[in-house]
Amino acid sequence: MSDAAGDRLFADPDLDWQPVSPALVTERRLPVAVLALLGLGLVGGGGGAAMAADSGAGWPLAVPGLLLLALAALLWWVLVPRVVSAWRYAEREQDLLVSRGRMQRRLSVVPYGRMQVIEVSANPVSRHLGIATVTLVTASAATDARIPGLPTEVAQRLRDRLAAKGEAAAAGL
Amino acid sequence: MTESAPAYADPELSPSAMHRLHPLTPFLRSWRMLGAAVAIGFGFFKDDLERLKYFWDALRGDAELSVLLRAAVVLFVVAAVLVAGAWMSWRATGFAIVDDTDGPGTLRFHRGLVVRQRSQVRLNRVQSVEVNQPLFARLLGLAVLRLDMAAGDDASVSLAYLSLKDAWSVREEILRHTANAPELGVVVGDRTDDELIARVSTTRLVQANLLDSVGVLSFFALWVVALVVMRILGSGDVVLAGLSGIVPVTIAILVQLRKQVASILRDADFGLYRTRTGIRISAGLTSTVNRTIDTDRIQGVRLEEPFLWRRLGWARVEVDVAGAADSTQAARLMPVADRPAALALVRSVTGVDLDAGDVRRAGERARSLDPLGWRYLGVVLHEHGAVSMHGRWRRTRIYVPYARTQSVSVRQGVLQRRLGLASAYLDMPKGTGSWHASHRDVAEATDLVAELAARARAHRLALSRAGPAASAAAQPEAGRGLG
Repeated sequence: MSDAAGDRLFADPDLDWQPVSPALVTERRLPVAVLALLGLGLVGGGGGAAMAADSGAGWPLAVPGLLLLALAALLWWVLVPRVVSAWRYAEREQDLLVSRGRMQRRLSVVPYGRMQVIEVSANPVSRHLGIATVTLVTASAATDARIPGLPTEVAQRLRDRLAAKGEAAAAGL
Repeated sequence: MTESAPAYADPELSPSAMHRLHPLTPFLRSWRMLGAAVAIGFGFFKDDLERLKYFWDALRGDAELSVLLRAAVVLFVVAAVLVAGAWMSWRATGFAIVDDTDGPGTLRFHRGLVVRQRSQVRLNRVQSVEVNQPLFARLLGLAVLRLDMAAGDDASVSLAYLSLKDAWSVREEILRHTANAPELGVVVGDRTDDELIARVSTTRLVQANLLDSVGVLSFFALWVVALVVMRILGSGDVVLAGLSGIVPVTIAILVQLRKQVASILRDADFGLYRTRTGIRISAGLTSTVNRTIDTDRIQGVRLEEPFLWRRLGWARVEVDVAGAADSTQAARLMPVADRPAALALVRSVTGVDLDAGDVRRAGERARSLDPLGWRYLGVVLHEHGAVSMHGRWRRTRIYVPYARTQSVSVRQGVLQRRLGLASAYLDMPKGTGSWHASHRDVAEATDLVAELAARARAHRLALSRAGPAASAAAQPEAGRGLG
């Protein structure tokens, strides 16, 4: 269902929206794929063992489990690119906008003057893929401004830019 | 901000040169441990102690006496070691208020025998000051002075224990350094100057508490009635089945009762005073709390009207202050008052009339998402802050000043999207505020977000450009209201 007003709210076409790196798709897919394979192996192995033990009486029980697991993993595999492509940010003069989510859409408007900490983090997988996550922390725990999947040098440049802007606009609590 | 500075070494500021905590502190600090030691000792020597009834015999027979003596000696040694340890740590503890020549005062607090801790608290960053008397300290006439900092519990400093008189005088000294005291050019902090705004009678407090929890209480009553009816109509088995629920229900009742009693004890003898720069709350029956809040530090105000209170026209007011220790305690500005009085109170601390302004209600479309409460969803944008209204049964209004908002966000779930709605949120330093404008039309939400962000920016800039000195100018009504 297309709704122009909603698109305008969460992705204002007048702004210069920056996407996150497609490498994030891989980063998000990887753990689930590994888990799914592991689960398939376990369930399959268990079923096989049951079959070997007593003429396969336990084997049919494993089938729905296997199917469900495979289906969930497949669904995740298919959905991840959509979620990743919905994740974007835009730098305005006074604040940073982070928009994300397909099902539940969110938009955070974080003023530069309110940023207390800018965090760049990367786990081993994302390091291998050359991407990092930039997190903005304000005094509010409710602020949810995270930009994952930025190429490392983009993330660093963004951090420096944000830090400079934050310093210029810093305000007390 | 508690800054620990390892390089800091002011020769003249050794703990012995600073103010000491009260000499009884070691005993109060270790009374729990002493109690535990006594309990353990008792368990250890229980058999021996049982021979106490042969005490007079023991006096004659040496063997028995030696056992008693041993018990006594061990207990004494344990107690002595504990008290000595506490005493040494007391010796290493000291605090001083230092007037910096070029800035606000600093509280230096040294403590720790093995791991030395040196805290420096910039007094203009203090969010609120409390003089508390926990039950045991109160019995000895002692008090705890607590400074809440914005960074939260870890950064807060408690000076425990001081004599009540010292605690008050240190508080006055500290208040002299808080944010807007200097430019008001007044001597603040003398509590005898504080003007009493409101008191809450215990009768009313109890009534209000009962009414507020009438839903839960009536549920319990219903359960009892149901049991009785089942007994009359049904067979024994049914009753037995019903009774099997007795343990959880009893626990639930006890928990509820405990909550009620705790809440009444906490709010009993509630008094609200106006000081030169803010307000002071004094409350508590067994343990007393005296909390002073600079009006400037208020991050949000909540006016609540539970269902049964509305008939009587009662309301409750809570405030959010950054870094408040215990949210329930800190939040209560007025446990129960007549609605007009509550509104006047809110007006005097924030300068805003919660009933005024033109309410932007959520539209008819919100009905399918919130069938009961949609009528009560609303937003009012005032000059210095925004009000969010919600709640069918517990009607709630939340006011937050723009100058304190951190970020603005907006969310849209699948159903909302289908209906063309979205919800906007203001993120406050303390997550409890939950200021929200739920189920607004998307176009309206877009405008709302833009407007909130713009207003927040304008007020933030006004506040920071002028510095803390002119924070009164950013909230002129507040300044006047407290005049």
